[in-house]
Amino acid sequence: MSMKIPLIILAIGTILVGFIPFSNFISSDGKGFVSEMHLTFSIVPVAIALIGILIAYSLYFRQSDRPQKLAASLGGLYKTAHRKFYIDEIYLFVTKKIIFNLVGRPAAWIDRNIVDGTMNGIAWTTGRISVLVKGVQSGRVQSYALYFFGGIVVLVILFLYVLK
Amino acid sequence: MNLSLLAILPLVTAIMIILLKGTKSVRIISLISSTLQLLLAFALLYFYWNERAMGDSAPMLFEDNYTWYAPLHINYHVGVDGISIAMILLTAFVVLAGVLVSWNIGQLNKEFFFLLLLLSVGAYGFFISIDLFTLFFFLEIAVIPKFLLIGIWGSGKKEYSAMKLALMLMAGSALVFVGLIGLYLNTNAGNGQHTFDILQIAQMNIPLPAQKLFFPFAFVGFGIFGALFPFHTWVPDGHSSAPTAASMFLAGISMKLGGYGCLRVATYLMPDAAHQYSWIIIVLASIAILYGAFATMMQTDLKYINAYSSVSHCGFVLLGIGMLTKTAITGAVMQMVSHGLMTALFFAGIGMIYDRTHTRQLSQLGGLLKIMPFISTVFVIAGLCSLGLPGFSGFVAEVTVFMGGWSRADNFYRIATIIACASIVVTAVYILRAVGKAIMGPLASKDYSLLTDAKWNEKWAAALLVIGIVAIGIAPFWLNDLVTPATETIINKISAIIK
Repeated sequence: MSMKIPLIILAIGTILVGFIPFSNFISSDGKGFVSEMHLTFSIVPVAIALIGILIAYSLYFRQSDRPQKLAASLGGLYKTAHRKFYIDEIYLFVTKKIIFNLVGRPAAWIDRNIVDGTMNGIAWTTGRISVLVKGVQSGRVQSYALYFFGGIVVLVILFLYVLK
Repeated sequence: MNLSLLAILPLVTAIMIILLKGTKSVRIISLISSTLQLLLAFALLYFYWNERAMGDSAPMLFEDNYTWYAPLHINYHVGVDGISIAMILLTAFVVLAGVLVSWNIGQLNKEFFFLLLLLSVGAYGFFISIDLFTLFFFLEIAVIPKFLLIGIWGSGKKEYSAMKLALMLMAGSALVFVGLIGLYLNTNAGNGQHTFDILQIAQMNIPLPAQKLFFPFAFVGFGIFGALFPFHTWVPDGHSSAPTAASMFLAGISMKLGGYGCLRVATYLMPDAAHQYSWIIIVLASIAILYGAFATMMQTDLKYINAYSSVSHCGFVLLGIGMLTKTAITGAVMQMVSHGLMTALFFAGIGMIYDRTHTRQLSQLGGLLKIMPFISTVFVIAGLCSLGLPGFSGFVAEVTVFMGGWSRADNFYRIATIIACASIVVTAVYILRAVGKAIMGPLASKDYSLLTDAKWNEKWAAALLVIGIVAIGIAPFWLNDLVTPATETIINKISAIIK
């Protein structure tokens, strides 16, 4: 009984909920959406539902071996329907195998190794250049004198032979 | 109302903290100050509505203008419009939540709170500045504390992350600086005088070649702060190494400095260039959104998940700005506020979990809902907001960006919008996976059954952020009404060019 009461309440709600003008609440001007009755769209789904109920009634209302026989005769079709047309399997395959492995994993790898690698590469290059260049600032006067004379030689050559 | 109070209050508190002795007094002073900041932000909102209701339609209200360095026309010029107020409110929420979350910080708590408050000085100052130099000055104030917060109180490879974050943000600042100086030298305030004043520059037409040259500097510079692809790589490392409150500040406030700068400085002051380069912005933003989401899917560390998802979510901000329509830019501002609150909540939740379980690896977590229902609920709420569930702020902001993007009747813009929409599915995958692994299922370790749920300070911090998220989610019109007049000012300048 205790399980029936919630069901009864929900059943009543299900029937009555259609009378609440929800569309009035969600439109910006407070007017409801105007919907027309299309007989095709009303009759066909209800008919399909009724046929389903009839089939279920004839198969399962009294215990019999008819469902088993029918299932056996339908073979693959029955199995496919029983496994919900493999929608879950397809979904899991697409997400877990294809999207995770072929899109997500490469994206994460590219980000860590190529995009971030480039950033780290810039930092590394800056560091290397600094290591290479810092020797110039040795504090040894002899070296500075050498650079000084080297510079003069370069300038002399430049002025005498290149820019004459 | 005196806007400078917003920057002075945390500054005075920070100085007081240095002079104070004892853990307890430092905490209490920080809490009082951050509560006052929140009240001040609400007072500002109230006075702003009042002014506007009385028919004051000036672009910026509560202006204060003092000469700082006359020879270079540097002024301390502050003022607010709806966008700034939205950002100030966000900052106030995140600062208070951050202080609450850091209540039991163990080592060097005086220095920790000092840096947190210094960071908020930078953020408030940045959002109220309408002088480019002052704005830049406050931007820099907001960078330095992050380096120390991560380097000292961080976890994992914190020295590396702190250095990386500081260097990349400094590079961003350098680009911004070039952009600002270039902009300054191309202004003409009469008699060949230059100006840093945003309001004055907005009235001028900066020569197109100068715009085309300096817009990329300003936009990319600020973009680095706002996780512009491919300069976003400081985000995952920086956020995951930072202590909880610093992660909250970083993602909640600092990244918004970037988005705000892209909008207020780059787009507003150089609209022709913004129009010409908008396709590049849209391409980069779309890449960030989708690629960030896919990269998130493969992360196994909770903080990395949220950090990468921040790259994806901040892409919406840049996408909204790049779309250059009123609705899209309003959406971008909403997304900044929404993401700020949501990501702060997420990091707070992750911090609470980490404090107790000492792991952030998904493989080592599980079944936390049974032993810490409050923290787990916080985590789920942040996740649902992140994946854009109606009723939370994320949905409102993202839908506004989509609407604004779709309203550009051109296949390019529509494809970008579709790509952005598609990312929501990917977001749902990684959020539900993280929630499912960490919160649901059997308890991952027997030791976890001894853990306790959130303490009072953590509850208040989370409640505060949840209130913000739900307030925007259920009643987005107040934020929309606040932001729209300000976006109109920006968009009027741009639509004159587009037509």
